[in-house]
Amino acid sequence: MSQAKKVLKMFPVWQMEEEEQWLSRMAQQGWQLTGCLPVIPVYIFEEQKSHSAVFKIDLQPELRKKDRGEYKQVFADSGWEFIIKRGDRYYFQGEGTELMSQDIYTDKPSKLERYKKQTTLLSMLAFIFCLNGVVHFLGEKPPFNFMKYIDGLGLLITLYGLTKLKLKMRGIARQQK
Amino acid sequence: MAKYKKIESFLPLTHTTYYILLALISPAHGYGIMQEVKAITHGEIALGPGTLYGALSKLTKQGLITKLEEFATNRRKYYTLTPLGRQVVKAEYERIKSLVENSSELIQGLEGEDE
Repeated sequence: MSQAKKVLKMFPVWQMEEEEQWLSRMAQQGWQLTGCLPVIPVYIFEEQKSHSAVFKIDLQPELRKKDRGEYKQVFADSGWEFIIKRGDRYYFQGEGTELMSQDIYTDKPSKLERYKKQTTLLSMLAFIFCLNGVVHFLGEKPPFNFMKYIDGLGLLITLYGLTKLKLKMRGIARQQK
Repeated sequence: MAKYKKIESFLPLTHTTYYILLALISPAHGYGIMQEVKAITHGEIALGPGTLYGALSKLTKQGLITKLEEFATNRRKYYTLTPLGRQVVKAEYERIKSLVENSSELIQGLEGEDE
């Protein structure tokens, strides 16, 4: 029986590349991603022979259930194996030198589109924090008068993330291709 | 909705969109499109699956291509151009052609200067 372990680790939506790289490092160390837990950010790994693999995470908030088979097939035809789905994120794994240097997004408009999706999600979150902040500020009653600080902190973090995404998008816009 | 949109409103197309539409002059599935685009561009453009799938759903929504449900083999779905898609790809070809034709004389003069 191969060993399995669960790892709790949080990657915000603006750190998708970092998450991909972390999963690749885990595979190199002999831990293959095989599953996840719902809602909480816990990854399940199984011990395997150390191997080099690339991971790609694709955000698909609008993908309908009936289109999922076709979607995964398009990736499989390019050599990317579907591993898990976590919320709106689909995790794919590729092996071999050819895939190492390739990306699942190959032109500028679609690369930018990818970040726009993340920006939309974060903006919605920022809006919710704003709204909550106002509600909590106006209706503060002990023992809940600390709530507005939590909203403020949430808003700060989401704004930080939005700035990060903006910078990444600018980087892509400046690229040659 | 898409039916009433003007053909010109879709132009200019991105490289990727233009080649995908060309590849769909006859019906093809995702993998077939990748192969066809590679062939048309002599290996220059290898479409990534994220880019391809994103383009297919967007173009379907815009009404430029349509999914042929009856041709579906297992999970691979076939697509083809709609009449609107045909008009758009032709209009884009004409647009690029006139750009090249209108500028070719001037560009030739430019090349002469460089020598």
